[in-house]
Amino acid sequence: MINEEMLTFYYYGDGLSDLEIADIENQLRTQPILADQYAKLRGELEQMVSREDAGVSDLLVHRLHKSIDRAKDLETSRADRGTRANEVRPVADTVKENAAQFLMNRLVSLAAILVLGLGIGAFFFEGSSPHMYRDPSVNGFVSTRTLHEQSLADTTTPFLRGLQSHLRKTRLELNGDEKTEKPDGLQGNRTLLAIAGQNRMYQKVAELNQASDLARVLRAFEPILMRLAEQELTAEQEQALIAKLRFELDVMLTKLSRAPSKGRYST
Amino acid sequence: MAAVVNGMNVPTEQDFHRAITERASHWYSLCLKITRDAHLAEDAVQDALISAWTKRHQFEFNARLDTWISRIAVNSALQLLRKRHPERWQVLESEVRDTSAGHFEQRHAAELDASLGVALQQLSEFERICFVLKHLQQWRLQEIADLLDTNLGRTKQGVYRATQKLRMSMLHLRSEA
Repeated sequence: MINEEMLTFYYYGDGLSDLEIADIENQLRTQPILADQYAKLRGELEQMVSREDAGVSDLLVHRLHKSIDRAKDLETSRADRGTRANEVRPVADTVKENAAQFLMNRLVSLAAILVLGLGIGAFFFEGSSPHMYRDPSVNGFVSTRTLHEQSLADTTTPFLRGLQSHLRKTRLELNGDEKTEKPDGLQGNRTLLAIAGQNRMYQKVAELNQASDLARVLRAFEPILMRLAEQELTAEQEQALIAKLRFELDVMLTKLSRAPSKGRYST
Repeated sequence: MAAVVNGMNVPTEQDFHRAITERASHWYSLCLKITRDAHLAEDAVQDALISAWTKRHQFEFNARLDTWISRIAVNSALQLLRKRHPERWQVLESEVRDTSAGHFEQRHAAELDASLGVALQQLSEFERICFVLKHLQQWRLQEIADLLDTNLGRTKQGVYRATQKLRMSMLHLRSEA
Protein backbone atom coordinates (compact mmCIF):
# COMPACT_ATOMS: atom_id res chain seq x y z
CA MET A 1 0.00 0.00 0.00
CA ILE A 2 1.51 3.30 -1.09
CA ASN A 3 0.83 6.15 1.31
CA GLU A 4 1.52 9.86 1.16
CA GLU A 5 4.65 9.59 3.25
CA MET A 6 6.18 7.20 0.75
CA LEU A 7 5.19 9.51 -2.09
CA THR A 8 6.84 12.40 -0.27
CA PHE A 9 10.14 10.57 0.01
CA TYR A 10 9.76 9.32 -3.54
CA TYR A 11 9.60 12.99 -4.53
CA TYR A 12 12.78 13.71 -2.55
CA GLY A 13 14.49 10.61 -3.95
CA ASP A 14 15.68 9.73 -0.47
CA GLY A 15 14.71 7.50 2.41
CA LEU A 16 13.24 4.61 0.40
CA SER A 17 14.68 1.24 -0.51
CA ASP A 18 15.15 0.21 -4.15
CA LEU A 19 12.29 -2.22 -3.73
CA GLU A 20 9.95 0.50 -2.46
CA ILE A 21 10.93 2.81 -5.31
CA ALA A 22 10.25 0.09 -7.88
CA ASP A 23 6.89 -0.63 -6.27
CA ILE A 24 5.87 3.06 -6.31
CA GLU A 25 6.88 3.48 -9.94
CA ASN A 26 4.94 0.42 -10.91
CA GLN A 27 1.77 1.57 -9.12
CA LEU A 28 2.06 5.13 -10.48
CA ARG A 29 2.01 3.67 -13.96
CA THR A 30 -0.99 1.45 -13.31
CA GLN A 31 -3.13 3.50 -10.91
CA PRO A 32 -4.36 6.85 -12.25
CA ILE A 33 -5.76 7.94 -8.87
CA LEU A 34 -2.41 7.46 -7.23
CA ALA A 35 -0.71 9.26 -10.10
CA ASP A 36 -3.07 12.24 -9.61
CA GLN A 37 -2.40 12.23 -5.91
CA TYR A 38 1.34 12.29 -6.57
CA ALA A 39 1.03 15.08 -9.13
CA LYS A 40 -0.89 17.19 -6.60
CA LEU A 41 1.67 16.50 -3.88
CA ARG A 42 4.53 17.31 -6.18
CA GLY A 43 2.93 20.59 -7.25
CA GLU A 44 2.47 21.69 -3.65
CA LEU A 45 6.00 20.76 -2.66
CA GLU A 46 7.41 22.62 -5.63
CA GLN A 47 5.65 25.76 -4.49
CA MET A 48 7.58 25.70 -1.24
CA VAL A 49 10.50 27.70 -2.48
CA SER A 50 12.86 30.23 -1.07
CA ARG A 51 12.67 33.24 -3.33
CA GLU A 52 15.90 34.91 -2.36
CA ASP A 53 18.58 35.06 0.28
CA ALA A 54 18.30 37.41 3.19
CA GLY A 55 20.32 40.54 2.68
CA VAL A 56 23.72 40.52 4.29
CA SER A 57 25.24 43.72 5.66
CA ASP A 58 28.46 45.16 4.25
CA LEU A 59 29.75 45.15 7.79
CA LEU A 60 29.36 41.40 8.04
CA VAL A 61 31.01 40.83 4.67
CA HIS A 62 33.90 43.02 5.78
CA ARG A 63 34.11 41.11 9.05
CA LEU A 64 34.25 37.80 7.18
CA HIS A 65 37.03 38.98 4.89
CA LYS A 66 38.96 40.26 7.89
CA SER A 67 38.55 36.97 9.74
CA ILE A 68 40.20 35.13 6.86
CA ASP A 69 42.99 37.71 6.71
CA ARG A 70 43.58 37.33 10.43
CA ALA A 71 43.57 33.53 10.24
CA LYS A 72 46.10 33.68 7.42
CA ASP A 73 48.31 36.13 9.32
CA LEU A 74 48.18 33.93 12.40
CA GLU A 75 49.29 30.93 10.39
CA THR A 76 52.09 32.86 8.76
CA SER A 77 53.29 34.13 12.09
CA ARG A 78 53.24 30.61 13.56
CA ALA A 79 55.12 29.25 10.58
CA ASP A 80 57.75 31.99 10.91
CA ARG A 81 58.16 31.18 14.56
CA GLY A 82 58.63 27.52 13.76
CA THR A 83 61.26 28.38 11.17
CA ARG A 84 63.17 30.56 13.60
CA ALA A 85 63.13 27.83 16.25
CA ASN A 86 64.51 25.34 13.75
CA GLU A 87 67.30 27.72 12.83
CA VAL A 88 68.31 28.01 16.46
CA ARG A 89 68.22 24.27 17.07
CA PRO A 90 67.94 22.13 13.97
CA VAL A 91 68.39 18.89 15.94
CA ALA A 92 65.19 19.44 17.91
CA ASP A 93 63.24 16.72 16.18
CA THR A 94 60.85 15.42 18.79
CA VAL A 95 57.70 16.98 20.13
CA LYS A 96 59.01 16.93 23.66
CA GLU A 97 62.21 18.67 22.69
CA ASN A 98 60.28 21.31 20.80
CA ALA A 99 58.05 21.93 23.78
CA ALA A 100 61.11 22.31 26.00
CA GLN A 101 62.62 24.67 23.46
CA PHE A 102 59.47 26.75 23.45
CA LEU A 103 59.56 26.89 27.23
CA MET A 104 63.19 27.88 27.44
CA ASN A 105 62.79 30.62 24.89
CA ARG A 106 60.48 32.36 27.29
CA LEU A 107 62.56 32.07 30.40
CA VAL A 108 64.16 35.44 30.01
CA SER A 109 60.71 36.98 29.74
CA LEU A 110 59.60 35.17 32.85
CA ALA A 111 62.68 36.21 34.72
CA ALA A 112 61.94 39.79 33.74
CA ILE A 113 58.46 39.47 35.18
CA LEU A 114 59.73 38.17 38.46
CA VAL A 115 62.47 40.74 38.72
CA LEU A 116 59.73 43.22 38.14
CA GLY A 117 57.77 41.63 40.97
CA LEU A 118 60.75 42.15 43.23
CA GLY A 119 60.97 45.75 42.13
CA ILE A 120 57.33 46.31 42.85
CA GLY A 121 57.75 44.66 46.21
CA ALA A 122 60.57 47.04 47.09
CA PHE A 123 58.58 49.97 45.84
CA PHE A 124 55.40 49.30 47.72
CA PHE A 125 56.93 48.79 51.15
CA GLU A 126 58.60 52.08 51.71
CA GLY A 127 56.33 52.71 54.66
CA SER A 128 57.79 50.04 56.93
CA SER A 129 61.53 49.95 57.48
CA PRO A 130 64.43 51.35 55.51
CA HIS A 131 65.25 49.14 52.59
CA MET A 132 66.64 49.16 49.10
CA TYR A 133 64.57 50.03 46.08
CA ARG A 134 65.04 49.44 42.41
CA ASP A 135 65.87 52.52 40.42
CA PRO A 136 65.28 51.96 36.71
CA SER A 137 67.48 54.87 35.83
CA VAL A 138 70.48 53.03 37.28
CA ASN A 139 71.96 50.33 35.14
CA GLY A 140 71.74 47.06 37.05
CA PHE A 141 69.99 47.14 40.33
CA VAL A 142 71.07 48.59 43.55
CA SER A 143 70.65 51.90 45.13
CA THR A 144 71.35 51.81 48.84
CA ARG A 145 69.45 54.97 49.50
CA THR A 146 66.23 54.44 51.37
CA LEU A 147 62.93 55.91 50.41
CA HIS A 148 63.09 57.89 53.61
CA GLU A 149 66.24 59.55 52.37
CA GLN A 150 64.78 60.53 49.07
CA SER A 151 61.38 62.14 48.85
CA LEU A 152 58.62 60.37 47.02
CA ALA A 153 58.13 63.48 44.98
CA ASP A 154 61.54 62.86 43.49
CA THR A 155 61.25 59.15 42.90
CA THR A 156 57.69 57.89 42.54
CA THR A 157 56.70 59.28 39.17
CA PRO A 158 59.82 58.31 37.21
CA PHE A 159 59.85 55.01 39.03
CA LEU A 160 56.27 54.27 38.08
CA ARG A 161 56.95 55.25 34.53
CA GLY A 162 59.96 52.97 34.44
CA LEU A 163 57.95 50.10 35.87
CA GLN A 164 55.11 50.60 33.48
CA SER A 165 57.48 50.74 30.56
CA HIS A 166 59.16 47.57 31.75
CA LEU A 167 55.81 45.81 32.21
CA ARG A 168 54.68 46.73 28.75
CA LYS A 169 57.94 45.59 27.25
CA THR A 170 57.67 42.30 29.10
CA ARG A 171 54.14 41.87 27.93
CA LEU A 172 55.20 42.48 24.35
CA GLU A 173 57.87 39.83 24.73
CA LEU A 174 55.25 37.41 26.00
CA ASN A 175 53.24 38.07 22.87
CA GLY A 176 55.67 36.02 20.88
CA ASP A 177 59.05 37.63 20.45
CA GLU A 178 61.47 34.76 20.68
CA LYS A 179 64.64 36.56 19.98
CA THR A 180 65.72 36.25 23.58
CA GLU A 181 68.80 34.27 24.36
CA LYS A 182 68.04 30.68 25.22
CA PRO A 183 69.49 29.19 28.41
CA ASP A 184 69.91 25.43 28.38
CA GLY A 185 67.11 23.32 29.82
CA LEU A 186 68.56 22.39 33.20
CA GLN A 187 69.86 25.85 33.91
CA GLY A 188 66.56 27.33 32.84
CA ASN A 189 64.70 25.02 35.17
CA ARG A 190 66.93 25.97 38.09
CA THR A 191 66.46 29.63 37.28
CA LEU A 192 62.71 29.22 37.35
CA LEU A 193 62.78 27.47 40.69
CA ALA A 194 65.10 30.12 42.14
CA ILE A 195 62.82 32.84 40.87
CA ALA A 196 59.83 31.10 42.38
CA GLY A 197 61.67 31.00 45.75
CA GLN A 198 62.42 34.70 45.59
CA ASN A 199 58.87 35.40 44.59
CA ARG A 200 57.62 33.53 47.64
CA MET A 201 59.89 35.56 49.88
CA TYR A 202 58.59 38.85 48.55
CA GLN A 203 55.07 37.62 48.75
CA LYS A 204 55.54 36.99 52.46
CA VAL A 205 57.05 40.42 52.91
CA ALA A 206 54.04 41.89 51.15
CA GLU A 207 51.71 40.03 53.49
CA LEU A 208 53.65 41.21 56.53
CA ASN A 209 53.31 44.75 55.26
CA GLN A 210 49.59 44.29 54.67
CA ALA A 211 49.99 44.99 50.94
CA SER A 212 47.36 42.39 50.17
CA ASP A 213 46.89 43.28 46.50
CA LEU A 214 50.56 42.96 45.75
CA ALA A 215 50.74 39.74 47.74
CA ARG A 216 47.86 38.37 45.72
CA VAL A 217 49.56 39.17 42.43
CA LEU A 218 52.84 37.67 43.55
CA ARG A 219 51.01 34.62 44.89
CA ALA A 220 49.38 34.17 41.52
CA PHE A 221 52.80 33.99 39.89
CA GLU A 222 54.05 31.06 41.90
CA PRO A 223 51.90 28.19 40.61
CA ILE A 224 52.45 29.42 37.09
CA LEU A 225 56.19 29.45 37.56
CA MET A 226 56.21 26.03 39.17
CA ARG A 227 54.10 24.67 36.37
CA LEU A 228 56.34 26.22 33.74
CA ALA A 229 59.32 24.63 35.43
CA GLU A 230 57.88 21.26 34.47
CA GLN A 231 59.34 19.96 31.24
CA GLU A 232 56.31 17.89 30.24
CA LEU A 233 54.14 20.75 29.08
CA THR A 234 52.30 20.72 25.81
CA ALA A 235 52.33 23.84 23.67
CA GLU A 236 48.66 24.44 24.58
CA GLN A 237 49.35 24.19 28.29
CA GLU A 238 52.25 26.52 28.00
CA GLN A 239 50.23 29.03 26.03
CA ALA A 240 47.55 28.95 28.72
CA LEU A 241 50.17 29.69 31.37
CA ILE A 242 51.62 32.50 29.35
CA ALA A 243 48.11 33.90 28.95
CA LYS A 244 47.69 33.76 32.70
CA LEU A 245 50.94 35.64 33.17
CA ARG A 246 49.75 38.26 30.72
CA PHE A 247 46.63 38.67 32.78
CA GLU A 248 48.61 39.19 35.95
CA LEU A 249 50.81 41.68 34.17
CA ASP A 250 47.74 43.58 33.09
CA VAL A 251 46.51 43.62 36.66
CA MET A 252 49.80 45.05 37.79
CA LEU A 253 49.82 47.61 34.98
CA THR A 254 46.37 48.75 36.01
CA LYS A 255 47.45 48.94 39.59
CA LEU A 256 50.47 51.01 38.74
CA SER A 257 48.48 53.35 36.57
CA ARG A 258 46.22 54.06 39.53
CA ALA A 259 48.91 54.19 42.20
CA PRO A 260 49.90 57.88 41.83
CA SER A 261 46.41 59.02 42.74
CA LYS A 262 46.41 57.10 46.00
CA GLY A 263 47.50 58.54 49.30
CA ARG A 264 51.01 57.58 50.09
CA TYR A 265 52.06 56.93 46.51
CA SER A 266 51.01 60.27 45.17
CA THR A 267 53.63 62.82 44.30
CA MET B 1 31.14 30.00 -10.68
CA ALA B 2 34.23 31.47 -9.14
CA ALA B 3 33.57 29.72 -5.85
CA VAL B 4 34.50 26.46 -7.53
CA VAL B 5 38.13 26.03 -6.75
CA ASN B 6 40.45 25.53 -9.67
CA GLY B 7 43.71 23.64 -9.62
CA MET B 8 44.97 20.79 -7.49
CA ASN B 9 46.05 22.68 -4.40
CA VAL B 10 44.12 23.46 -1.28
CA PRO B 11 41.79 26.47 -1.49
CA THR B 12 43.73 29.69 -1.28
CA GLU B 13 43.06 32.89 0.58
CA GLN B 14 41.76 34.33 -2.70
CA ASP B 15 39.34 31.42 -3.12
CA PHE B 16 37.94 32.15 0.30
CA HIS B 17 37.62 35.87 -0.36
CA ARG B 18 35.88 35.15 -3.64
CA ALA B 19 33.49 32.72 -1.98
CA ILE B 20 32.70 35.30 0.71
CA THR B 21 31.93 37.95 -1.89
CA GLU B 22 29.64 35.66 -3.83
CA ARG B 23 28.03 33.47 -1.19
CA ALA B 24 28.07 35.25 2.16
CA SER B 25 24.46 36.21 1.67
CA HIS B 26 23.47 32.59 1.09
CA TRP B 27 25.36 31.31 4.14
CA TYR B 28 23.91 34.01 6.31
CA SER B 29 20.42 33.34 5.06
CA LEU B 30 20.77 29.64 5.71
CA CYS B 31 22.09 30.18 9.22
CA LEU B 32 19.30 32.66 9.86
CA LYS B 33 16.71 30.06 8.93
CA ILE B 34 18.25 27.70 11.42
CA THR B 35 18.98 30.03 14.31
CA ARG B 36 16.25 32.63 13.77
CA ASP B 37 18.66 35.10 15.35
CA ALA B 38 20.62 37.57 13.25
CA HIS B 39 23.57 37.75 15.65
CA LEU B 40 23.81 33.99 15.99
CA ALA B 41 23.64 33.64 12.23
CA GLU B 42 26.48 36.11 11.77
CA ASP B 43 28.60 34.35 14.36
CA ALA B 44 27.83 30.99 12.78
CA VAL B 45 29.01 32.15 9.37
CA GLN B 46 32.19 33.60 10.81
CA ASP B 47 32.90 30.47 12.86
CA ALA B 48 32.29 28.35 9.78
CA LEU B 49 34.68 30.35 7.66
CA ILE B 50 37.47 30.17 10.20
CA SER B 51 36.85 26.47 10.66
CA ALA B 52 36.87 25.92 6.90
CA TRP B 53 40.09 27.86 6.59
CA THR B 54 41.70 25.76 9.32
CA LYS B 55 40.50 22.52 7.72
CA ARG B 56 41.03 23.55 4.11
CA HIS B 57 43.53 20.73 3.59
CA GLN B 58 40.61 18.32 4.05
CA PHE B 59 38.62 19.96 1.27
CA GLU B 60 37.78 17.59 -1.58
CA PHE B 61 38.17 19.12 -4.97
CA ASN B 62 35.21 17.44 -6.53
CA ALA B 63 33.11 19.53 -4.17
CA ARG B 64 32.39 23.22 -4.31
CA LEU B 65 34.07 25.39 -1.74
CA ASP B 66 30.93 27.42 -1.09
CA THR B 67 28.83 24.28 -0.62
CA TRP B 68 31.41 22.86 1.72
CA ILE B 69 31.37 26.08 3.76
CA SER B 70 27.55 26.00 3.76
CA ARG B 71 27.61 22.65 5.45
CA ILE B 72 30.10 23.80 8.02
CA ALA B 73 27.94 26.89 8.57
CA VAL B 74 24.86 24.75 9.26
CA ASN B 75 26.86 22.80 11.78
CA SER B 76 28.11 25.98 13.42
CA ALA B 77 24.60 27.41 13.51
CA LEU B 78 23.25 24.34 15.24
CA GLN B 79 26.10 24.28 17.72
CA LEU B 80 25.53 27.91 18.61
CA LEU B 81 21.80 27.30 18.88
CA ARG B 82 22.37 24.41 21.25
CA LYS B 83 24.83 26.39 23.29
CA ARG B 84 23.05 29.71 23.56
CA HIS B 85 19.43 28.63 23.49
CA PRO B 86 19.29 25.23 25.14
CA GLU B 87 15.65 25.83 25.99
CA ARG B 88 14.83 26.04 22.28
CA TRP B 89 16.88 22.94 21.66
CA GLN B 90 14.77 21.05 24.18
CA VAL B 91 11.72 21.95 22.15
CA LEU B 92 13.42 20.68 19.04
CA GLU B 93 12.89 17.05 19.80
CA SER B 94 9.35 17.48 21.05
CA GLU B 95 6.03 17.71 19.35
CA VAL B 96 5.40 21.12 20.83
CA ARG B 97 5.00 23.93 18.38
CA ASP B 98 7.72 26.54 18.79
CA THR B 99 5.71 29.69 19.50
CA SER B 100 8.85 31.84 19.75
CA ALA B 101 9.25 31.49 16.02
CA GLY B 102 6.49 33.96 15.20
CA HIS B 103 8.49 37.14 15.63
CA PHE B 104 11.36 35.94 13.49
CA GLU B 105 9.20 34.47 10.83
CA GLN B 106 7.19 37.63 10.52
CA ARG B 107 10.30 39.73 10.19
CA HIS B 108 11.98 37.45 7.68
CA ALA B 109 9.03 36.07 5.82
CA ALA B 110 10.07 38.12 2.84
CA GLU B 111 13.03 35.88 2.22
CA LEU B 112 10.77 32.91 1.57
CA ASP B 113 7.63 32.70 -0.39
CA ALA B 114 5.19 34.70 1.70
CA SER B 115 2.87 31.76 2.34
CA LEU B 116 5.73 29.48 3.19
CA GLY B 117 7.18 32.05 5.57
CA VAL B 118 3.94 32.25 7.49
CA ALA B 119 3.38 28.52 7.29
CA LEU B 120 6.77 27.82 8.84
CA GLN B 121 5.39 29.24 12.08
CA GLN B 122 3.37 26.07 12.42
CA LEU B 123 6.45 23.91 12.72
CA SER B 124 8.38 22.83 15.73
CA GLU B 125 12.10 23.60 15.80
CA PHE B 126 12.96 20.07 14.83
CA GLU B 127 10.52 19.99 11.96
CA ARG B 128 11.67 23.37 10.69
CA ILE B 129 15.35 22.41 10.67
CA CYS B 130 14.57 19.08 9.01
CA PHE B 131 12.52 20.88 6.38
CA VAL B 132 15.09 23.61 5.72
CA LEU B 133 17.89 21.10 5.31
CA LYS B 134 15.93 18.55 3.29
CA HIS B 135 13.66 20.66 1.17
CA LEU B 136 15.56 23.90 0.74
CA GLN B 137 19.12 22.59 0.98
CA GLN B 138 18.66 19.09 -0.46
CA TRP B 139 20.63 17.36 2.24
CA ARG B 140 20.41 13.59 2.50
CA LEU B 141 18.18 12.37 5.33
CA GLN B 142 21.07 10.49 6.89
CA GLU B 143 23.19 13.62 6.92
CA ILE B 144 20.43 15.51 8.70
CA ALA B 145 20.06 12.69 11.19
CA ASP B 146 23.78 12.72 11.87
CA LEU B 147 23.83 16.46 12.29
CA LEU B 148 20.90 16.42 14.70
CA ASP B 149 22.21 13.41 16.63
CA THR B 150 19.08 11.43 15.91
CA ASN B 151 18.13 8.48 13.74
CA LEU B 152 16.86 8.19 10.20
CA GLY B 153 13.32 7.30 11.27
CA ARG B 154 12.90 10.38 13.42
CA THR B 155 14.35 12.55 10.71
CA LYS B 156 11.95 11.17 8.12
CA GLN B 157 9.13 11.76 10.54
CA GLY B 158 10.28 15.35 11.04
CA VAL B 159 10.50 16.04 7.33
CA TYR B 160 7.15 14.42 6.60
CA ARG B 161 5.31 16.17 9.42
CA ALA B 162 6.82 19.46 8.27
CA THR B 163 5.69 19.00 4.68
CA GLN B 164 2.20 17.97 5.76
CA LYS B 165 1.78 20.95 8.04
CA LEU B 166 3.16 23.31 5.44
CA ARG B 167 0.92 21.99 2.72
CA MET B 168 -2.15 22.43 4.88
CA SER B 169 -1.11 25.87 6.08
CA MET B 170 -0.27 27.11 2.64
CA LEU B 171 -3.52 25.84 1.18
CA HIS B 172 -5.42 27.57 3.96
CA LEU B 173 -3.49 30.82 3.55
CA ARG B 174 -3.97 30.86 -0.19
CA SER B 175 -7.65 30.11 0.04
CA GLU B 176 -7.99 33.08 2.42
CA ALA B 177 -6.12 35.30 -0.02
